[in-house]
Amino acid sequence: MLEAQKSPCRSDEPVIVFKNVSKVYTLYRNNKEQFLALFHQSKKLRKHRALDHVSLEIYPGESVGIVGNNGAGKSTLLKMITGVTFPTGGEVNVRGRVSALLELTAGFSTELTGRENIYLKGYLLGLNEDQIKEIEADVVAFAELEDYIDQPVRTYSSGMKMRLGFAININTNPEILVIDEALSVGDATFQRKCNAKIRELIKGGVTVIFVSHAAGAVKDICTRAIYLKRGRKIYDGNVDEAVALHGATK
Amino acid sequence: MFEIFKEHHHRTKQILLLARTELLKTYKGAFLGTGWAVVKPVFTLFVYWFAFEIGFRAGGTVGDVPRFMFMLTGYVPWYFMQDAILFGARSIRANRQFVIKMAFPVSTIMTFVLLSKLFVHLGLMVPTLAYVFIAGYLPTLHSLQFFLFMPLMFIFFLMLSWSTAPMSAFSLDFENFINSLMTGLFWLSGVMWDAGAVGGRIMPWIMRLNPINFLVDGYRCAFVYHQWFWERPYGVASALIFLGEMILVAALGMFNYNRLRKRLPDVL
Repeated sequence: MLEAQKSPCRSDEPVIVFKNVSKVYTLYRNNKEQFLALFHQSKKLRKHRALDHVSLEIYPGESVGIVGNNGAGKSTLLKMITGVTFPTGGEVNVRGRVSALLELTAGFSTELTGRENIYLKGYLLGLNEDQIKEIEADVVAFAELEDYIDQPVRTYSSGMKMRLGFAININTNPEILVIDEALSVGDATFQRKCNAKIRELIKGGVTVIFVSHAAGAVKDICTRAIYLKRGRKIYDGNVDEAVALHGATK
Repeated sequence: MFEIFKEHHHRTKQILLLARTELLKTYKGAFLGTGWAVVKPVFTLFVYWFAFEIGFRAGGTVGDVPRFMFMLTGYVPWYFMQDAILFGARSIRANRQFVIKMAFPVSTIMTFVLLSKLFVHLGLMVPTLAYVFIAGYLPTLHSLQFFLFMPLMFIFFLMLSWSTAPMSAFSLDFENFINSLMTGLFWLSGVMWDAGAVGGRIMPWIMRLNPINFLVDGYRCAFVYHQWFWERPYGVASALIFLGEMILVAALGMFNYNRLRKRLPDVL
């Protein structure tokens, strides 16, 4: 009872848990080393430690900013949340459907039509056919592709592809939303529409992980921030504090 | 251990859609389109037949089957096996965007790539069987063995790709190694010639160790020999050997896939 009162907004189980997570990339100097690594993992190879014993917990409904310079481990951390890459030490646990606004056009098959790609991407994100049917119209409308949706995606301009990718990712009712600040989708009008949609989702209680270099955007969106430096978690908590720390060491 | 099965759970529609995409990718933008899937093997087979019949003057019959009929019923399943080995091994590298850009059930890549090749195989079986029937080899009850050997062939090479695809993705050397094996594999197997007719005491057993021979013989049992596979000389032994090899390939596949899966996004 007391525990629950202490942190009323954190009454739920965490949706993302990193337990002592490390990621060590092996750097192969040449093709021979990489070929030999198929058979045994030599200890002599050069390594790069991208994440160093990072532990964190993120609770449902939080908006967490990740700040840090290039090479601080932000991307690696995101890739682990989205399930693309795996830790070499420690444990990552993610509960709930993750939608990443990182690689919007990843997974598209350019030979299929826009509509077929909605299904493909929907399946890839773990939806079933009925769930995709439900969101199909919303996706088409949001992407503003009514006339082109039954054309093959290879005929789309890059802006159209981005719009479709964004529309699918955002309309799949994600529980966890991963956003890279560098994200840009088409023209200013559409960008505004996207920002509005993201805000709407945040209000609706989605958990957000937001990566950025820009202090303003983090302060604007996040309620908590984590500052990473050279793969280590330096600070976790107040947004202003994290941004100030990051700014001070730039 | 059973990672691969977990990854396939509830993903039938996704896999079928991706298999279709794979077909479209292969044959897009050509006037004949998927017609090339038939033209290419037919032309190659004609060349082999020409070399044997006209060049080596080794026409006539193989056993009591006309040379062309014998080659055709061997070459059509081989054409699938060749595609399955080559494209199976390449599949992960060719679809790297799925591995490095999203959380993807990587083992389903091999499934949809091989499925697309299986569609080609089934398409190729239509004119093949038409020819076989017109030439007087009418279907019998034995022809039902197709529905045993076709899935066996698919599963065998799918499980083989569980090893070869992650290894090829890891190192191009491994992919090149496989590429360079193919011609040898073709001529050392009884696709164009009768592996069951080799002389000696040891040689026939070496032939029976080759899973390609077992599968090709199965196709011939179904459509030209009109025999059950266990009625062939040492048929039961051959089947047991194949079964053993299948288990070995499956075990190796699961082992290699599980050991390399998590390292793949970092090397691709």
